[in-house]
Amino acid sequence: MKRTATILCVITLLALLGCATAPAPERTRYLMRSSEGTPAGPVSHARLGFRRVVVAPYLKSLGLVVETGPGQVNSARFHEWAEPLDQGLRRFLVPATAAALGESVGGGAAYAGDWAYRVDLYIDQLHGTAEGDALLAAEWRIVDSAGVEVGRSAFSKRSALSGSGYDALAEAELALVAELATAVADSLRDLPKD
Amino acid sequence: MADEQASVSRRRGISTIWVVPIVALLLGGWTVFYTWSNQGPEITLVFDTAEGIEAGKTRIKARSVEVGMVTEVGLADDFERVVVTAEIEPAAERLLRDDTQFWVVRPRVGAGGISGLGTIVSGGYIELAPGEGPEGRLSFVGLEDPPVTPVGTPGLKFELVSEDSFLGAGDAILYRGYNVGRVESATFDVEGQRVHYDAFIEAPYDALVRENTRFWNASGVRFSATADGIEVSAASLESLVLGGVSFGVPEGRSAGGVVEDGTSFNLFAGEKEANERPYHHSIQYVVQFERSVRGLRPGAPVEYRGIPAGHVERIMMEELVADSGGTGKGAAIPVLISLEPGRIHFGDDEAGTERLRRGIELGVPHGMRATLQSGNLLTGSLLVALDEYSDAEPAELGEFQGYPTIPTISSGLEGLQHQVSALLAKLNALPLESIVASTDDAVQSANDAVKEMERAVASVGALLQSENVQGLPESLEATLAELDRTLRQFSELAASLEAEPSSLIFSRDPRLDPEPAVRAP
Repeated sequence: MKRTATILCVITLLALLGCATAPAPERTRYLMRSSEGTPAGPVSHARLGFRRVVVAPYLKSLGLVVETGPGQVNSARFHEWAEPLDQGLRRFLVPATAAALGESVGGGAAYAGDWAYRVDLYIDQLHGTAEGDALLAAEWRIVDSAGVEVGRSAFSKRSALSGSGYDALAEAELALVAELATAVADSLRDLPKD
Repeated sequence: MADEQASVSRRRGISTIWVVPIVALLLGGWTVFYTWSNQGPEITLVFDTAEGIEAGKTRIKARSVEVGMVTEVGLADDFERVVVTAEIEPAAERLLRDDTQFWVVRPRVGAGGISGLGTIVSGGYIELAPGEGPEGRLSFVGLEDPPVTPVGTPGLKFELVSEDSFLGAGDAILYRGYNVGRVESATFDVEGQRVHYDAFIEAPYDALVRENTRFWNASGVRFSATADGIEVSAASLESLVLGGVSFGVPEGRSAGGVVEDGTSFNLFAGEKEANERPYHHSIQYVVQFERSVRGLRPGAPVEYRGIPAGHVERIMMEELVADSGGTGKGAAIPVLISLEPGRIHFGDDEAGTERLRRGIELGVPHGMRATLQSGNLLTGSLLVALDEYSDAEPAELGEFQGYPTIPTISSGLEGLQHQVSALLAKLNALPLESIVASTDDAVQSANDAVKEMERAVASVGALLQSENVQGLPESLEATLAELDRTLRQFSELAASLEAEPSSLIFSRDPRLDPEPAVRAP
């Protein structure tokens, strides 16, 4: 009995100590959405489309990444993307590329046999630099329905932040992603129609 | 004036005017004599019909040389025939002999070919074939058909006798396929029920015909399927189409002496029959079979270990019925066989016969048995085979209707046939109808199952084509990404606890995120 009362007292004490600690800062989540909006539904019969969007492993967490020193990055704990970066990028790129191209672009991961060309996009870097820039480095390859690579391109650009803080960083990174969509659209434009 | 007075006196002698009638008489007499002396003999020919013969137009020719002319054609007294009177030129008188032949040449189509085509334009004529007999004959009976062999042709005339009619006049006689003679005529002897053929072989081939010569029918293709197997034989193309006779001396026999005209020979149905060596000595036995003897015919071979030793005489049905009290029901079928010692080189004599008899008497106690064996699987012909079986049950020579009997056993083939019969009986006893009905049900069920499977496959196909399923890989990829992220966060938590275990209870230091700084101006 005495032993039980002792254990209850210790638990109560620890709970009071935990409640006495300072509250955590508020989390901020950024939604990656194109100004072109999202397609009404899955485009399954488009001639062109994104088959795969792959981000570098250091971008797998939700937090926005900032370079803190040479070879050092920090993934923010209280400033995060609202959804996993690869999914957010796919949702952003599909309408943005279709708008730039003037043609429907598919974004489903599932392979559809009537797609003529598919894009495999690899995001190598997307973070804020120590110099106050936002950096986006990506490359992509275009394959035809037979799986034969018909084109390969790369994109790398820095954009100065408009101000300090994570809001400016998110805004700059989204602008860079919009430019990436335009570059991808340009690489698809000259492909043969048949 | 003196009176002139005619002096009339009777002139003596014959007037010269008589010279004229005398000369005329002499000339007429000469003419008559000349005509009489140059006139040939007048002959009469009797034919069945006067078709193609006209008085004053139809000529008589010998080897295409005109030797006479038909002068009169009339019916005979009995109106059954026609009598043709013809005048023969004197120079041809010596052609008229006892055996001279006449026939009317007109277009004919026969076995020997087409003849007399020339008479279509020139008209028919009577051909004279001079004979070799005594001269002076003036009345002849004409031939209705040209003689196959001209009179006087050197060679051998002989007779062939057969029980069946194989040949016709004009058919070829062949020696090793070479045409050496002809069948001249064929007559059927009603009393003897045999066909007699007059045949002729030209010299020098007549020397080939000797006392032991055998003649056989070589007409057409001969097909025989017996217990000895299937035989197909044919002679030359000519005999194949037109018929013919072949002859020769059986192998192993001497030719014999020379034969005279008119010799009679048997005509055999085929070469095999002709060459069959006649055996004069034989022993008859009875073999009794419990099985069907269908396919066993008189003449079927009897073999001893595959060596021809005799033949089947007959199936003794009458004796069987008599022996079994008038029914014959259930009794073994007795077959009379004839064993010829000459066939197995025991000698075709009494000694050979006795030797064979003794051999069988000694053989039966040591397992000699008779079996029915198939001689020809296609035709089902059977033969009787004698062999020795060491495992045969003991038996002795028996007796049936006065004949000695050789014990029989079932042959291997017979046993096989019994097994096949038993198998067929079992198959027959199977409830095939219910099996077929069950099979039909099973097939129907299988069909239903297949249709159900097809429907299921179609449903699966539709499901796979649906947007939900098509989006599964994307969802799966997202799920995997979420799982990856969760594991990463768990890993971060684990690292954080490892570095700061108290953070499980006490709040970690709420360090703020490093602030991204704007680029320095």
